This record gives sequence, C-alpha cells and structure tokens, in this order.
Amino acid sequence: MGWNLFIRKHILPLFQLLAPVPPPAWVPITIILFGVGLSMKLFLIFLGAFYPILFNTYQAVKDTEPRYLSSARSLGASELTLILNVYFWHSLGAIIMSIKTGVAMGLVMLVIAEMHGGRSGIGYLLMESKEFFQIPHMIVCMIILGVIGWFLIEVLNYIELKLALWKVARS
Amino acid sequence: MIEARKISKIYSVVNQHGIAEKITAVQSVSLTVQDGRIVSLLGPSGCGKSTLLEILAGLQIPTEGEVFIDGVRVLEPLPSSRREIELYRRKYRFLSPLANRLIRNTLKYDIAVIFQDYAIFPWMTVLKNVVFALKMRGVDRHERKDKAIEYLKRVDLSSDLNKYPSQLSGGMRQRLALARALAVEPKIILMDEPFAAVDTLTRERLQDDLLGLWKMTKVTIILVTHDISEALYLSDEVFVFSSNPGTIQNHFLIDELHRRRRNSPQLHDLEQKLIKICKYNHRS
Repeated sequence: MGWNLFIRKHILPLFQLLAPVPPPAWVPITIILFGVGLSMKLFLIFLGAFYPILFNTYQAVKDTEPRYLSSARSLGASELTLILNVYFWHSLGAIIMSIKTGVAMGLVMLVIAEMHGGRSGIGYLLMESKEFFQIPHMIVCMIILGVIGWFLIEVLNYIELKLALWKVARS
Repeated sequence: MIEARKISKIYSVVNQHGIAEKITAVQSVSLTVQDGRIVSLLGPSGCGKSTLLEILAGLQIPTEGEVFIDGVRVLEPLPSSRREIELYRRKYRFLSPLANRLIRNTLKYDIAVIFQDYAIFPWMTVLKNVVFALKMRGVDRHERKDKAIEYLKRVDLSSDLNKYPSQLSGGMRQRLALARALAVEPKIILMDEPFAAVDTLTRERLQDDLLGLWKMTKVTIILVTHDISEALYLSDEVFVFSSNPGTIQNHFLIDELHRRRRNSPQLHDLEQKLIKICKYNHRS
C-alpha cells in the first residue's frame, strides 16, 4: 500500500473506514459468525493486532527515503527486489515496533474474547473470580497476563536485535 | 555518446497562498558528451543541474525533450494529449512512473549514479553493498564476491569488508560509493556533487583516486558540482549553468596541455574568468 499509488488510492479508504471500529465492538457479530470457540478468539485477536501493524507499516513504507530507491533503481532493481531489499529493511524498525503494539492489542482482545465466550482461559478465570470476589485470583491473572506480554515483547526485541544489526553496529 | 536534446523540466509547486505555480527547473538544455570524457556541469545550487542529471540517469521524466545514448532513445517525455495519457496510464498502472518491471528488469541503461549523500544502503555491509549492485546487473553468483573484493581493493577498503556504512568515515563512504559504481562496469558514471561533504584534503585525495580509476577504465563521467576549481581540475569540458531558469550559459573546452594540473596558471586564469561569469549570472 505504501509502495504503489494505485493500490493506495483504491484500498486505503476501505481500511480507513473499518479501522476506527473498536475491536470489542466486533465481538457480538463474531460470535454469530464463528460461534463460541477457538476460531472466534483467533479472529478477534487478529482484528486487534491487524490495524496497528497495517498502518504503521504503511506509513513506514511510504516514508522510505527516495534516494535509496533511486539508487537501487539506477542499479537496475525491479520492484520486487525493491520491496525485499529496500522497503523492508528501511521500515524494519517501524514494523517491529508496530508488532509490539499489536501484541499488546492482541492480549487485550484475548481477555475480551475469553470474557465473552470462553469456558477456560485467563479472561474467563478473571470473570469467574469476580463473581466469587476472589481478589488474589484476579491479581494472579493480571500478573500472568503481564508476564506473557513482557515475554512476547522480549522475544520481539531479540528478533529486532538479530535483524537490525546495522543499527546497533555504530560503535 | 550521450546526447540530450532540448530538455525541459517543469515542476508544479504550491506557494504560500496555496496556489499552484509552475517552476521551470531546466529549460531547453541541449548537450553532447563524447565517450571517455569527464564533463562537469557547473552552477550555483538550485539551478537544475541535479535535475538534469536525474533525467540523464532515467530517474525522472523530462517534460519536454529526449535523451539519446549511443543513438538510442532512452527516455520518452510525458504524454500531452488525452489519448496518449490513457495509453500511458494503462501501460504503467501497476508500476512506478518509471516503467519499472515487477519481477525482473530488462536493463535499459548502462549507467551508474553516485548521489550527493552516496545513498549506500546502511543495512548492508560494505561487501554486500557491492555484491547487491553486481547481482542487480546479473553477474554470476560465484563471481560476485571475488569481483566485489577486487573493486573494493582498488579503493583501499579491503580491510573493512564486514563493517556497516555507519561505522565508516565520510571519505570511506564516498570511496565505497565509487567502488559500487565502478564494479558494475558501466559505460557512463553520473556524479551528483560527490565530494561536497568531505574535507579539503580528503577531497583532493579522492579526486586523484577518481582520476586514477578513470585512466584505467576510461568511462564517461558526468560530474555535477558547484566547486569551480574541482570542475576545472577534473574535467575535459565544463558546462556553466545559470539559474532561474536553469540553462547552459557557457561551454568551455579545456586545452589538453593544461588538463589535470593542479597549479597551472592557465587554469587559474580560467578559474578567475569563470568566477566572474558565475557572479554575473547570479546578479542578472
């Protein structure tokens, strides 16, 4: 989308229309469509994580330095090589950053999905302990969620360190 | 031989009142460059010489005029009639405006460009930058690395193969860009103020390096610069630009006797003359 004006003109408005719909508002219709189960949870998590990743990546690709592009073009790069070798690497930092935001949003959606239609899981446990007023249970659930999020973000940090070696190489 | 015929480039910009204005960056410039020569385009900043260079490199489309390289027309101007615009759109719909191929490029130009700020890729190591350029030119997989190392040796970078460009100094980056341009063995090298960002001593060394490499390979070099002494020292011909709109004002051929001598008095006289001309152009 950031790469091509034609695609941007025709597809971006669609996403801009859909993105402001808050992901929790999707819950009822998803339950009707997918029923209560794993696929519904997966779809909700996907919805939560999709838009931040999409828009951040789009912005980063659009802002790719034109001098790198023209330099690669003058060497004779085709559009596919441009995407693989210039756009991707140039926007890598923003992509990983957006995946981090996506992870956080995904966790939010996980809890919401489980609150609404789960028979197990952390969100369900939270709701259940609310019913019985078990504050320690609730706190443990929150801590577990935090640890999961932290762990995923650390994994992403590691990947970023491995891929974007050229950014830390300045010694 | 490069031949540019009556090239004009007109941009439309929005001024501070929000009204579209047209700005003529280059106005009917014609120039001919013989093979194996170093030619300078000299002029103040913002007079359209970089635009002309990008047009010659095929990175921008001229509003009017044509570029021929060895008698082959390499650039077509933008369409003007409605019918042509429709055809043009259909042709380039899914691609960038420069008719780039999606998967595989058929090479149109045998040109290497060195940009003002070098435009070497910061996410590739020194070696990979050159290997990437060779890969783009369809050099065989096994030969790429050896060839890249050979050219990096020529510019004294063989000890820094696995460093990233952010770890190099300005002069080294410049030499890397030079190696990348030379490694693809082009017929023509276009340079956009290549030595503007390095200090005087490094610049003189780089100029001598460039001349040494040029003597070995005999490529055609078109050099854009605003440094008068650099233009005189390096080149066989000098085209002087004036700004607003950018046109060629004067054309100097430098005598073979005085070429590439740093302290020759004739060159010094010519330099004084050029400074006068540039000042005059600037005033009017």
